[in-house]
Amino acid sequence: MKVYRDPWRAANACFVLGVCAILLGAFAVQFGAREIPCPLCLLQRLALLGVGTGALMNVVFGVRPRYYGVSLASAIFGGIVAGRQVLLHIAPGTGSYGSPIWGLHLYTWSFIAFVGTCVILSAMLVLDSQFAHPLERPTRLPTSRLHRTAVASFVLIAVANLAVTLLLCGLGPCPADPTGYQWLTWLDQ
Amino acid sequence: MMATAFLAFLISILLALSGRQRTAFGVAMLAIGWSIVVFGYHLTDRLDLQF
Repeated sequence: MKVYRDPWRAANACFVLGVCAILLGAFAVQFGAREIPCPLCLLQRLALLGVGTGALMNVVFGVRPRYYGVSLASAIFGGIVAGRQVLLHIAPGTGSYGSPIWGLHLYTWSFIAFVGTCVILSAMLVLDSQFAHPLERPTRLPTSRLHRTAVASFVLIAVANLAVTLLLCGLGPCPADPTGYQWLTWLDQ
Repeated sequence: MMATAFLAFLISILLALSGRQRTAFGVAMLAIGWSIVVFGYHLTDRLDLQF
């Protein structure tokens, strides 16, 4: 059985793993430092999922500009949300949300990550030789260990984020200043 | 509300893994749009606007 090898899909698989690492870091802060994410924090996680979804589609279907577009739209959205959260707390005396890590708050790191993602995606779209041979695109799911690891990790992270969001907010809007897990409180009653 | 946006992305991912290219792409774009709506809701909720 011939395994199709494509360095661009491998690059996208590495990108998916990078997104998974960032989302795992968010979980580490949430459960390790016991800092509950606010609605803006959850929206940034959502944007990261969107970035990863575009890259995942490049891995599964072969690289296409439209899938980079999904990632780029999500990164722009995430940058706007993170930028808003930075500006909410940028003036002295306005407080902050969460503890700083290596001198910067998570929403600032998030903004840096989304801007960096936009730069990377722009570079990937400039390198259009990857789109030059669409007829060679495989029609079956990739079978390399890297691709399977990236896909499985991303699916697990997406399911975990959905579960945590349900526990935090239920099916309604999330509270602006969360103090606990709404669905767990409901279960306690 | 927020959870439905996460669910939309998860559905898009699962559709992609099942091989439905166009549907997965469409659902992903819808998920992005819905995320923007949720962001807009939280913005206006915080501003406490009255129309």
